[in-house]
Amino acid sequence: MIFAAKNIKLSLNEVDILATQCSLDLATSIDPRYDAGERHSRNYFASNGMGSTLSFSHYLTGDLDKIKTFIGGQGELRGSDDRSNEGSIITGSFGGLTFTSGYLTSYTLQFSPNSPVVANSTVVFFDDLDGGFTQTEEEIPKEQILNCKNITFENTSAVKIGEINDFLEATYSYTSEINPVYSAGRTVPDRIYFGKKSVAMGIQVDNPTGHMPYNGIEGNFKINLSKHGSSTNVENFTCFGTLQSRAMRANVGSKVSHQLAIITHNHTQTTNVLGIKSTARPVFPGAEEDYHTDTVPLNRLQSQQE
Amino acid sequence: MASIRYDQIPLTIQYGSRTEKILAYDCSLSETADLQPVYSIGKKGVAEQTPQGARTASVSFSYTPVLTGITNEKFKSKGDYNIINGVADELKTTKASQSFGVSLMFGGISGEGLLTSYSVSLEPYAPVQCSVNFELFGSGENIPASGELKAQSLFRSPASDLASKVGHSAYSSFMTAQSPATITSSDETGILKSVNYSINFNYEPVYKLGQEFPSTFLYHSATEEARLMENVYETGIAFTGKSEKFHLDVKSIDNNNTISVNMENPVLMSTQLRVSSNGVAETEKTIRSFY
Repeated sequence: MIFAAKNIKLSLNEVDILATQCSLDLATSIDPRYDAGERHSRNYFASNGMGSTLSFSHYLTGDLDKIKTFIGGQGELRGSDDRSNEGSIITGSFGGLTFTSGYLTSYTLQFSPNSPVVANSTVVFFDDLDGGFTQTEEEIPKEQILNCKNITFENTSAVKIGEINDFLEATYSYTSEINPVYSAGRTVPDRIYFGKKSVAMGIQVDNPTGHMPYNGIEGNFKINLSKHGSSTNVENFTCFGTLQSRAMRANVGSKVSHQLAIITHNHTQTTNVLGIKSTARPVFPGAEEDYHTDTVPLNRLQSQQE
Repeated sequence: MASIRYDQIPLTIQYGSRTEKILAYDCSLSETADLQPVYSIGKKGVAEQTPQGARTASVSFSYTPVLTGITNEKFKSKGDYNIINGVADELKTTKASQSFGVSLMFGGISGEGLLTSYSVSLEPYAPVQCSVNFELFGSGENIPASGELKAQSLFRSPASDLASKVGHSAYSSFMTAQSPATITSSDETGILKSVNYSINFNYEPVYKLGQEFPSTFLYHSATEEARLMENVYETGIAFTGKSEKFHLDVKSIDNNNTISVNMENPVLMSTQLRVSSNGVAETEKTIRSFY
């Protein structure tokens, strides 16, 4: 049976999104097994678990994008075992096919003048899909799509980055390493550990300049978006990092472009306080009279350690 | 019921210190909002029609140039009595990349436009006909076209002026790609039946984030083309391009004022010979210049 795209619903964590396209890819990691002296094989073995991805593009409507919240929360919260740091796990459904342990691995946006804001996301998951392919019939909600006409930039970069008057184009890109941990004898991971996370911003600006120190320049940019006819910011994207590169290009029949690339590997500006534990206060020698039960003299502390 | 007659909607063009009312046959103003429907997978209908680009407008008109005189010495030195021809001539040879618009006023509606195409059509014993298109992009906070349609005072000019000052082919002279061609063996010269000249300009409006209308315009290049109809076929198109000359002087019917069109280093691009029953053979050759 053939289905139309308007009947295939995509939802993530029970949140409806206005997706323009979605692609669900399931792939095994099988390699051919060769016997000695043979160069042909019909036998395959799995060298790794399933690697599945859900890629989709969706319009931003200004109600603080739910997908974007995974950037801050994912991998930043400790699990109950004090080791795992899964944070928010994404459950998803695409046409009735569901997964329960997805993780956002990339999230990119392109900002072009007078264009609607569309985010491209990739979610990886390692469990099997449940359910069957079913079609739905739903009316689309009336939404106002965020537009790059209503965009403002906050630039608190170092002066050395140069004077910037006009922002012509911009991109925002988040990537995160997602690594499954398998126990021997299992085909689905026991847990996930997160590798490096980075946020990069590419900005096309005016005033071409070639100043580029070997250790970069502090570059702090914040993109604010509001709705038509309103000055209230309803969405923002921040990259407080370092200028990694700048490029100037010229093509026949087009303007000279000057592109800045800023990157940060600490995308969150807040510090996570995971709890407070009391520790013994050191006591200097000769301060026995001040000894209390919750303090340990330094000499005793040394002997305890020995 | 309100209605406005054609003679109550004058078309006026201003460029620099020069202002001219145009003797236009027709004029059209088009405004466009770039809206696209927002569909979503899994949903029926559209969320909204959302903007994909800035609003734009265009003004196009056809006219016969009235060569009544000029106020700008810069144009006079070129013997140029047609404001559009003056703009085109200045623009195609400029080395500057920043481009500035021409003010257009059309029955109470005004805007600033960039000349994107201009063509001149010449036939024997006929007034010159020009066609022009301007693109209006707006700028900064200014919308492309503002104002409202209102009847204007009637545009009257002394009939004798109009009759004697219109550009006409009668006294015009041509040096157009060696046309009319000659049949070399018998040294017979053909007849040049018509000239269709056109020039198109390429601009790049530079939009910035957070602003609907462009902050500046860049002029990149121009393509100039002339198609010449005659009745003698001139063979000899060259692989590397045959160099030609094109200089057109269109004079007023009183043989006084002139508009000049000069193509720089044109090259013969194509020739065509066609004949049909009950007719004489017709040839067309096309020459082009690029700036």
